[in-house]
Amino acid sequence: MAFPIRFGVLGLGAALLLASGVQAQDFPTKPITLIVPFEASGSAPNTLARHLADRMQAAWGQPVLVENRPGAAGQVAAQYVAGSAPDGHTLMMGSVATHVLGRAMREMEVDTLTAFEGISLFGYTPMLISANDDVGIDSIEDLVARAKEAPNTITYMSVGVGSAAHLAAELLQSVTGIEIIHVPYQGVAQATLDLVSGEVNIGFSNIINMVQFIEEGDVVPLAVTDVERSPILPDTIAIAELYPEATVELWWGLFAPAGTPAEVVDMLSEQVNAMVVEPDLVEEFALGGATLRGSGPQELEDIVMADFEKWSRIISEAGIE
Amino acid sequence: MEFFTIGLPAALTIEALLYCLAGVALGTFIGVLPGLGPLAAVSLLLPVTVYLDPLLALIMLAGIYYGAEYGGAIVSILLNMPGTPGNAITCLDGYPMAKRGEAGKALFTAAISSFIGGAIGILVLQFLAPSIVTVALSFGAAEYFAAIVFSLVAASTITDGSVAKGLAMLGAGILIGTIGTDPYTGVIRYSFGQFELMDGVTIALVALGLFAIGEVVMAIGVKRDGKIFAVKLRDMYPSRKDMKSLFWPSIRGSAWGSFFGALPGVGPAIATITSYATEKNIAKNPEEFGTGRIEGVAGPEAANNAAAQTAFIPMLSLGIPGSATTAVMLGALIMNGIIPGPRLIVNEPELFWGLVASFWIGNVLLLVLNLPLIGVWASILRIPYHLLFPGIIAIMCVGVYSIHNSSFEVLLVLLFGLIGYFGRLLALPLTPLLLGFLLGPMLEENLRRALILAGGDFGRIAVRPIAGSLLVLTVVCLIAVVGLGLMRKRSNARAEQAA
Amino acid sequence: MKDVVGGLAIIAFALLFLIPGLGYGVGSMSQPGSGGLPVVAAVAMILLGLGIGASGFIRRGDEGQAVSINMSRVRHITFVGVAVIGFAFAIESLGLIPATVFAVVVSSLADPRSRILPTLVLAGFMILIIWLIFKVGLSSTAPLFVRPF
Repeated sequence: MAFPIRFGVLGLGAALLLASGVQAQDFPTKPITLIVPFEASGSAPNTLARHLADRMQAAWGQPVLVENRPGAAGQVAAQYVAGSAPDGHTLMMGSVATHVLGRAMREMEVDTLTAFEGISLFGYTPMLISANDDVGIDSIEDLVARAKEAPNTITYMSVGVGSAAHLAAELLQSVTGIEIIHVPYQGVAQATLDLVSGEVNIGFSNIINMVQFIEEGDVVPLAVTDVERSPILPDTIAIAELYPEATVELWWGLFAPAGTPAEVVDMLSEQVNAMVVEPDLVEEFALGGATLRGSGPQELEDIVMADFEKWSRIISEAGIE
Repeated sequence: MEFFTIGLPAALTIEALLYCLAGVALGTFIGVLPGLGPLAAVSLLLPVTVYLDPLLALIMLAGIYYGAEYGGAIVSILLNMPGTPGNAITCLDGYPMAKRGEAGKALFTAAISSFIGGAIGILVLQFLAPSIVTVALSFGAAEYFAAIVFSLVAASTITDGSVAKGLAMLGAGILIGTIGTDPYTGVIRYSFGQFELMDGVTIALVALGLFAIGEVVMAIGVKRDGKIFAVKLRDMYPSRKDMKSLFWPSIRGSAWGSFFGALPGVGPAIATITSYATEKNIAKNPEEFGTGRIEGVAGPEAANNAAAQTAFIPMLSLGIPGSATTAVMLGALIMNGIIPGPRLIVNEPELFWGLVASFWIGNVLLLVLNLPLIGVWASILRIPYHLLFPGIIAIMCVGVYSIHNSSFEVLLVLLFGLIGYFGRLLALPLTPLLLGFLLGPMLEENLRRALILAGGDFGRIAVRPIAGSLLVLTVVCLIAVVGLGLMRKRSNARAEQAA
Repeated sequence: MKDVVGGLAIIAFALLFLIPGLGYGVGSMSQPGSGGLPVVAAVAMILLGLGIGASGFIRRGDEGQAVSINMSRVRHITFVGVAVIGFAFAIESLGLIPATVFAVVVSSLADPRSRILPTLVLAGFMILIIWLIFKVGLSSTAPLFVRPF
């Protein structure tokens, strides 16, 4: 059923390409659509997309529409953007999940490694490793010692095989040589509740979801998967202090269809890089546990390839799929 | 106490009152409208509610649900066509009353009994749900697994139709629920070559297809009884005798409704049948039922409204749907980022108590809408159907597309619409399908998680006190239902032999 | 006949899921696989479908067993189906307004009582309603018209 639509979009794209003949000085010649591959909500990628849309619209005078096309681990959006004309008028808000993790797990409908040009990084958020209060584990060293003593007795929650949380846990196990039991959940909410109630022992999640439970004393933070400590939890160690290889950065980046002219990519990259250093934005995101950081187009592509190699190795080592 | 300190203030804001009024008015409208039930209406509004505050969204959706039970009685009485499945029994005595020129009396009875049923249902909900929560807070995966098994068995065996068909459709729902990436293994199940199915299908698509498209297409070309009885407010003024004869049947109907409604997965239809049978059994002249007895309207109408309210008990206290419509409302909660379950009442007291308070407000509003404004609703019956359904189809398409900006999902809704349409033609029940779709993944997830946490030992699940007793209760219910069925068959056979 | 067809439909549906399901793996008790529940559900459906079909065959003469499929039913589902399919394609290639008009006009053809003028008035009314709910109320990004070039 999807085929005719797909070819329709491709055909339209090709026609547009022939009709206009892309040149950077004409950019943008019509409204820009920024596709977000997640549900419409107040989440970081949605907020970033709306901020960028406002700035591009102000700078270039063309309307910028933010459109949510969630589904199939970002593939619905990836297919739409990769099939659009590579002229910079259709862009995708990507993330490590949509552009790397899915592709590292399996063959995908759209090969996110080759179908896109990187434009710029937006920033990233680390994960938080935490423990239920009743388990009596209050540091990473504790966790490693307990798990080494009795392998495969400590349980941890994630939001499913191949999710960032699961892979972060596999990475930690690989680096520290411990073995803990994976308990997958359908959704973040139920997983969080079960960590709080003690149904599972250890949690891999984002920081901000856990702050309330840490304050209430139900959950003990063990480490953030970053090179530096988080300003939200200054007393919690950064994992790099003990295991420099166990860092996990969940980043967001802006992507255009492969073949987009370099001048257009550079123009867009400048916009993002100017935005991510705005002090009030930096502060707003820091409160949510995220670090804003821009990059050049090539740098983003290097990050994609490096992450792909890292996660592919972890996936094959852990024997997933 | 929370009802007064948290609930009423939350439900008495201007916005909440407006959404409540919109919900019950739309519900009455939908109930009166042939070819579109509350399930379809609630599903149609799902895309819109994503943008609303969760409390307002629920107030409106719930208003449509119980409002339709009121409205459905109007068509049952005036046209001999049930507006919702819960109003089917009302036709039996309501329509004969209308034919006799007592339409006003029948409508008055329906409205008052509905209100009594609704009120008793809310009271039961208000006291029972929080006490269930105190137990359910200690629920782990094993307890959930047992509670869901109980719901599934209750939903498919306590029915007025064929148990085999119910179970088969439950299976179909469970299978549709497994579509998508399995979080436990990463395997993508049943994508049938469509990568869009990697995330599975959402409840909005299934419910809209089965109930909006299915019902709308079924109703095209249905011939209506030409005559619509005129009603005036003056005809509705009741006599003392009427009030007396409707009171006790309403109370008994409310009791049946509250009981069946609170059972997860058991709809209001079975409560109305039981209530009608009770009234007939205890009447002095049972042969008069079917010729226009007030009791035959009062009991079932109280029952379906009580059931509509108590259906919220399992939904709000356990996160397990009490009926197909509450299943869709659970979907609305999930889409709004709220996790249904025992913590809902604890973590979101405003949501629970505000909703309960809005039920009181809504039922009072419905009484007003149904008594003085009855003429307005009766006139809606005169809108020709061929000027309604193309609009419903169009708005459904736009609604579905707007959820995810996805044409694929519009086509998927049509696929479920075909299942809904042909299911109706073949008399296959669709409610079990929807419940299976929602409960199947919950069942699978909780069983697998319970097994992982128990190290693969099912015995360790069964010896947990709550989980174990629920599983035993399920087996007892199953034996009882099957046993009763066999006994009934045998006694029927004996009766036939004797005759 | 009704239950015979119903039973067969149930069996066909179950087979559609059973065959791929066998490849998903049942797993172990401590790591349950993806195939367990679907295979159990599909096998149960096949057994129930056989039972329903057989009992329908025995009672094939009963009044309730007649399947009422006639030309007007075919007409209803066909036009509504085409309306929805057309909408799905038109919304992305033509825009919201043409897609809405298409859905209203084509689905109205399902009912022989529909007349062209009232249908067009209804289509206009629906455009207004949809514009109010989805564009004004929910700020949907779907374009009203897609510019061809």
